[in-house]
Amino acid sequence: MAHMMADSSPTTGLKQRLAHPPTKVRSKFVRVLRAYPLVFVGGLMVLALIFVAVFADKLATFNPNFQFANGLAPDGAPLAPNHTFIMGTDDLGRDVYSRLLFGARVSLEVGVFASLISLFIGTTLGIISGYYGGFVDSVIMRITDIMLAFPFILFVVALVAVLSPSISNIFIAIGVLGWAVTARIVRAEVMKVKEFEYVQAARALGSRQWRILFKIILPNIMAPVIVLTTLAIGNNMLLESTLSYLGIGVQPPTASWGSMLSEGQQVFEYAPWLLYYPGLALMLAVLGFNLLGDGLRELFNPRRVR
Amino acid sequence: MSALLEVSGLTTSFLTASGYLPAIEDVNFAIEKGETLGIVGESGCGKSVTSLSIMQLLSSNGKIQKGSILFEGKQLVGLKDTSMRKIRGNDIAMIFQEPMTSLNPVHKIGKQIGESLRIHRGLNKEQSKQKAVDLLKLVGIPRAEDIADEYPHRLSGGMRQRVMIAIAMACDPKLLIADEPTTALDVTIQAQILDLMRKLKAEREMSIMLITHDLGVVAEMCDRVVVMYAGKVVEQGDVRDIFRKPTHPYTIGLLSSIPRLEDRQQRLSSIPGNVPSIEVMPAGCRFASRCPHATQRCADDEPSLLSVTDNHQARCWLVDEKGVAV
Repeated sequence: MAHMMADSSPTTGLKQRLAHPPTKVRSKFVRVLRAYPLVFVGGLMVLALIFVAVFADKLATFNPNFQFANGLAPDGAPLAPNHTFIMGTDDLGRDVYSRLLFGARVSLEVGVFASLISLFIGTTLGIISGYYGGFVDSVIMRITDIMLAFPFILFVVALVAVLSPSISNIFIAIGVLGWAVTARIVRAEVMKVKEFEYVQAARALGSRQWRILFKIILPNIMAPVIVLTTLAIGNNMLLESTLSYLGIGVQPPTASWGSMLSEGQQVFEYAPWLLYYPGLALMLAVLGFNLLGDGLRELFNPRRVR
Repeated sequence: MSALLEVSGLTTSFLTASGYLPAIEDVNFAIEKGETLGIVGESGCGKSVTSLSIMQLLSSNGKIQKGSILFEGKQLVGLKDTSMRKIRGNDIAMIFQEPMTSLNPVHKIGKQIGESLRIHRGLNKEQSKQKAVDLLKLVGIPRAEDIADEYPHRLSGGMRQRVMIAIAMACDPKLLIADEPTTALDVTIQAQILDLMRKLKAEREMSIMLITHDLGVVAEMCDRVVVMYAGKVVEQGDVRDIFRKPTHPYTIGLLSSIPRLEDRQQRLSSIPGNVPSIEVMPAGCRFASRCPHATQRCADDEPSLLSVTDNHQARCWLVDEKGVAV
């Protein structure tokens, strides 16, 4: 009953009702959902993408690389969307729908793994740089400057060319070269956070260095890093498409959204669906990650969620 | 009785563009068991550097150049970091000026209080959580169980300072260093926090080193006072002696700049000028440029700490000349 009645006063003994009777406390999930509905839109889009990528072989209607004899019009033109090929066929008579599903796999794989590699390298270097400062900081930051000054695509193209194009080499190349922005942001955050009195207070409690770095500082800088990484997944998916579009990404006949766009471009005047579907898929995927990233920023901020 | 903490000849320097310059020089004082020592002085006089030197928490451009810090007879200067860590938070705890930023915003209150128990006492999560609730009750926080599960931003400044005290008290320290613990709080809360510190001190026979620029706080809390000016101790003695018979002109200036109820002055007196910066520290008495009694001797030679009475010293030539206060 303590919730309905304020405590009776020890001096007067009078019982008083509460001015604001407590209402039902909603679960955090519901509160977040109400405050930031777009997180869930973004989250659902990302979940849908993951679902499609994982179950591509179950969802696809045909073998994505099979060139159907009946997939081309008598004059050799691709077929528009119809009952058999629901998103039409490409200029080699392959099913666009099936290729799109398998392409999601490639795009997501590259996006996620490249971003994780960047996250790991960038966070490690950024923390070291920001916390220790001095000479170490100068060296790491000059390397970062070089990475940022160099045209990124060119760098990735060069590295992929050296490594030979394959899905794993693409995400390794993007990941290994793409940590500079993460490192900079982490460094700035660490430099800000390490001056707070709670870091000093942790030292005054006798915490070890690793404890201060990973238990005190790291959780305080993760919000922007997680947002950045989520956004980076979208960007890296785009980058994979760019590489495939340029012809040094995923090699034929493997489908990726970028290679589909690249191939479709040659015939898009009379087969525009070859651009619509992969383009739309790419746009939705990147949008999903962006919405999710923005929402996560709010979610990770303990001040925001009431 | 040997002192709990004995600081002698402590000189801590910081690397500047013109090499290492001392922020505090030849600082001597002792804290007995169960005693509260006030360290007073205006901003930049080296109060905080003194406390950070004791904790060995100076930033990387600072170092202790000379002197010794004995804690229970153990030399802290040059102690290995691993051994020093066992003392920090365990034997010597610290509370800070700014309660709004001294708590980590991403961890729950209970977890933060339990931290030092996990570090020093090896308690597990469950035990440290339970102890944290007890500590919250000890420092007078209502609904301790609920508050332990809250994040710091839900608490007011006074409550946070209570939490900071709870964190400091977790391992039953022998010495509590309080660096301006009430500066950021409003007056009624200040009184509550000071009461709490006094109560805990009495219950646990703990010594307190209270760093402050608020002489009111000193009068209320301290047994003895060290007055610092420009990195040096200029006067030290019993709190009564300091307030009744201030000897160093700087102490006199500080005391006369407090508003008093009895005599309604038109204006509060103030000490003209500023503390000289460490790059251009004058030889001779450091207070000479602001001192109403300064003579050529003050500008030429620096006085040492001269005895006014048995346990009352002042770093001023006036003591030498008159033997008593001006």
